[in-house]
Amino acid sequence: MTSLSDIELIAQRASGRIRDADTADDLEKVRVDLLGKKGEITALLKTLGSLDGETRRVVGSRVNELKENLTGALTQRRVELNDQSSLSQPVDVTLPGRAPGAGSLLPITRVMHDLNDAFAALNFEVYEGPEITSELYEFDNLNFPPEHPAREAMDTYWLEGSENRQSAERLCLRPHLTGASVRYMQTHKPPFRFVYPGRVYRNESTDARHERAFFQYEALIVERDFSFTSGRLLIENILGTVFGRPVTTRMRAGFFPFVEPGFEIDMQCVLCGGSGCQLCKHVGWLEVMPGGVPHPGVFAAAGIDSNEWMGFYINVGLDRLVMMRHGIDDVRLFHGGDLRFLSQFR
Amino acid sequence: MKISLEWLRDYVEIPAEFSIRRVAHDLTMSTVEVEGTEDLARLLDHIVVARVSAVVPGTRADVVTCDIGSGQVTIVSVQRNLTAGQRVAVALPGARLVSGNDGAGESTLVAAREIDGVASEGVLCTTEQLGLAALFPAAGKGALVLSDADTDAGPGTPLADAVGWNDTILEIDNKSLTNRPDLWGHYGIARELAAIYRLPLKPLPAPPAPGTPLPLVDPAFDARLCRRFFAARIAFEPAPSPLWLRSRLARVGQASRGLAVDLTNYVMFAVGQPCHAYDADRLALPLSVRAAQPDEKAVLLDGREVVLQPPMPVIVDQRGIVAAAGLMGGGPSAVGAATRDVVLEIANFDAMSVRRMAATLNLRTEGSSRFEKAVDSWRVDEGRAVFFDALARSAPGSTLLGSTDVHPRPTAPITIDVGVEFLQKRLGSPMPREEIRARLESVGFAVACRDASLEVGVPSWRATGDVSLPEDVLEEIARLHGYENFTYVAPRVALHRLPLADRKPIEQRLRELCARVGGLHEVVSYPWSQDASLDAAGLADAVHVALATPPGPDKRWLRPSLVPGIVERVVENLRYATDFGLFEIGRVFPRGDAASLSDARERLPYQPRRLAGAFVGENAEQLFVAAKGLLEELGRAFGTSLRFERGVQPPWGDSGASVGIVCGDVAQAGFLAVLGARTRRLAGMKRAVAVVFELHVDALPAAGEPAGGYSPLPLYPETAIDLSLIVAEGIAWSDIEQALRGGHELVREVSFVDLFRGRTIPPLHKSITLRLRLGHDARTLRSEEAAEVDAWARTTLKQRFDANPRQAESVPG
Repeated sequence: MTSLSDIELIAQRASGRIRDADTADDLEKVRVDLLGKKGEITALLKTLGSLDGETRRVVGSRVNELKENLTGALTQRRVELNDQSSLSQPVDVTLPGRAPGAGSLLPITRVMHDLNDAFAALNFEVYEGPEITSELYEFDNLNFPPEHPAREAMDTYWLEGSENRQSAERLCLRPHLTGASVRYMQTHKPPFRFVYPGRVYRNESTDARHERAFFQYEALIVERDFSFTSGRLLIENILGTVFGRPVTTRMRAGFFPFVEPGFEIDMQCVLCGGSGCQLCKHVGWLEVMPGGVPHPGVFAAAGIDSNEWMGFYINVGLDRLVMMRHGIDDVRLFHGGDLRFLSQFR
Repeated sequence: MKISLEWLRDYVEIPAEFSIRRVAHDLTMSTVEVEGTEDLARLLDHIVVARVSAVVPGTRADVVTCDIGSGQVTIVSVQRNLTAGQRVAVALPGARLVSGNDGAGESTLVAAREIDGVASEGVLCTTEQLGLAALFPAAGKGALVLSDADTDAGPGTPLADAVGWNDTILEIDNKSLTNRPDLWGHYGIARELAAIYRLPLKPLPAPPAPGTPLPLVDPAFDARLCRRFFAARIAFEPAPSPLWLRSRLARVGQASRGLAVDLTNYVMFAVGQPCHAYDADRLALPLSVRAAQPDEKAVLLDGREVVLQPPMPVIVDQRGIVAAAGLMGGGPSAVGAATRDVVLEIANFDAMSVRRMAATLNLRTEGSSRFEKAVDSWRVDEGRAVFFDALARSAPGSTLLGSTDVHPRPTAPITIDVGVEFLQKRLGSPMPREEIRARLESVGFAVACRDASLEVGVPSWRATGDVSLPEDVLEEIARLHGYENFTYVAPRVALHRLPLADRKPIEQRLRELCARVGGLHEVVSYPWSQDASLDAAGLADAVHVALATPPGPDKRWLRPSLVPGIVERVVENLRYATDFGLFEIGRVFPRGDAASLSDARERLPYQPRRLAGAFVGENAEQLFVAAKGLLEELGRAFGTSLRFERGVQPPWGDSGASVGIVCGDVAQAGFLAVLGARTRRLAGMKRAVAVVFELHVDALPAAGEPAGGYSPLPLYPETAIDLSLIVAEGIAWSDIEQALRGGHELVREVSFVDLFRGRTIPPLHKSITLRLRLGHDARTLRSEEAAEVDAWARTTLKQRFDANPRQAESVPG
């Protein structure tokens, strides 16, 4: 015989089952178990007839109330379940992600773009010189002495047919970017500031540290009053932007024909912070860029009066910088074209 | 270049408390880059001089008892050249010995151990194990036996003390020395350190009296090749090279070659002046200098025979060539152990001539490295002084018989006027005139003050091209003051009308679009093409510019197109991947109008920019539309439209899938094609499909922006109808599109939905699904109007292309 306390027990259990049903199928099964032809509540209703009057009224009213409550709870739970998902099958959320349109840029390109942005913020113009150029622009205008070894075939890629000519008629793949600076200066009026990134070529054997083709980034600023002490601040500013944090540099004597005075600019080792490690050969400093004040001979070639104007060159070897930034140990990987390497730089 | 700290101290008293690290740092900051330092004494730690007390021969090794000063040690030694009384070098436990046979090998730690039942307390060392082969070139096989002539060091003396190895070596980066001929010897480096530390530089010994004038040199030599020729004749007392001399040379990496040669090398490492000693008995004096004649042969000191050409500088006697001037002496006239009559040459040869000869012969020597930096002609005097001083200390019995000094082209003095204000402005510092003067005088400049300027006399050793301008003087002051010691001030910049920095450069925008929109990976290829790749791409005849000294015999042509490189990268990457895309941006060098960019005399080849790429996978049609979609997107980004012209085929394209690219009003702006069968075969591409494009970057408007056009939204609702039709393979989408576009007033847009081929479609046919968007500007469409348009479209396509409706039941799925 069913007592009111039994009914309460059934009610609690039934509410629990409805709450716990996780899928529409589960819920349907619960409905059948409770309210189906052979369901628990249906069976309970069938027993009411055997009860006496007052008991039947009390119990009957409680069972009907329960049936209504459960029917409501089932409906509510069904809506809840329907709102949860419209998928016929859940998605395997552990599958590896795949970005649409996920190509990659050469890591050197990325640094080049970063530098473009950094210099653009300082209002530098972007300029590009030709890749095939002449001895006039790459050597004569840049104060390279006539007997300088870089003028020889063993260092520079001269073009067939022009290799025995002179100056403007002797053509080569550009061995550095600096020649383009004179082209710019000849066609613009100072003051100016511009960058001219690109690839340059040297005739040499390749190994893990040497390439025939490599990337440089060069900048020149020309103002009436621009001491090299200001140039150094400019460099720290740019390096800080590229590395995303303040960078400590030092400036020391260096020699390049097209600058006077010339500098080597070292950056405190990014790996050890200056205490000495393998990357910096235990000196705590990394050579990142040469720079200097345009040689009066260069200004003269560019048609600029070096008594009136002062300037500052910065040249960054991008291959080395990128190798440092990513810990890449072989410079040949950049030109290797191997997507297993290149696709790492998304 | 190796520089010995002990040797430097001959010329400047570097305080003992200055660490080598400090000296290396200060030189690096102000003068030249010190790449590293080496403490030589540490290499000989725990190695002492010992006297052999007894040798007991064994079957496999001898048992040697030695006095090491503090007592006797027993050593089982495989070196069997020893007898009692000899002095030897004993490595005690804790010492490290060189184990490689070339002296550059790894080191082994010496430990006490038992060998054949006998306790061995050390090692009797060979010169190789000690790393001292250069110091004892005459030592025979077996353990090193010290001679009385070399050292009187008794048992227990550290070997480093006995052989002068208490020294530290500075390794200087030669590249940082190219402009400083004065620094190619110890005296020049000492001068710098004296200036940096404000210490006195000691003078070199005085040169000897010239002796009797002798006709050793024909004064009519070619002065273009030789600025100065000093020769001396010496009655030479044959003697072994003393240990102090050999030791200094060995420490800077030069092996001993007998006294006369060691002395010439000593001069070179001391003051940077190369010189040479001849056996006078093998010369037909006098000597002269001239250019070599065509195909003139000579045998050099090292035995090699060289063929010389004009205008290589040679030294000749009355019979012929006796030396390649400034590079290497001749073999037949070389001094030997018995030479008693020596002719010493201290000369100054033309820098460019020596360098060209060295480069042409592919032979570089210590001498040519110095001459090619332009040594001044007054250095000969320093050379003489150092030579005869060292000779007197090494072979006091030798005498100078006489000499000749012909000096037709002395290094000219240079004086520079520099304004004080010029210097101060560029230094960014009001440095006092007296400090400027002191800085310059410390490295040998002569300074006279003239009102607002300085008259600066350049010392001869800096006057061969290194210092000639006010800016050069500025650099001297700045580097000696120390760049780190300036106050760094932010620039004060007048904001004239600065150019507004352009938007991103075109290459940067294209690269970003290819990677981000196209999903392509950027590659870079060399600017030269391989012959085989040019041929594969059908571009062997398109080449125009070649390199004189190419990186390989099959890589002499500069690329006329990016496509050969792209095909190479595709084939290489197919080894590891199946579906991928890549692109490159760069300059190419095809035929075209030469440009004189900046100078009227300069005719530069045509070198336009290209963008090329490849989509690689299995389905040609899908890859093709992906590539086309990217190209269209690039056009849109630059505010122009790219169109594709049928019937245009690049030499590397497949005849079944090639188009030309038209960009705005540039008709020939590139190609888009499935990579053709011939190219695939020759490039070795055996699987997958590649769709390749090449676009002329300069056809895009560099500063172009996406067209920002706006058209009002429709006022009345539009509707769309889809049609699925079966047409023959030969019917192109663009034909269908053209037939429907503009053909009915209610049709607003015709768009492609899907292309299907399969079991349910008749052979040589395809099913095309298209969508028509319908609308009216002034009213809502009536329901029957859509049906009218549908009927019109079907009729039109049936008439034009025999297009039949695709049966609904044949649609799969």
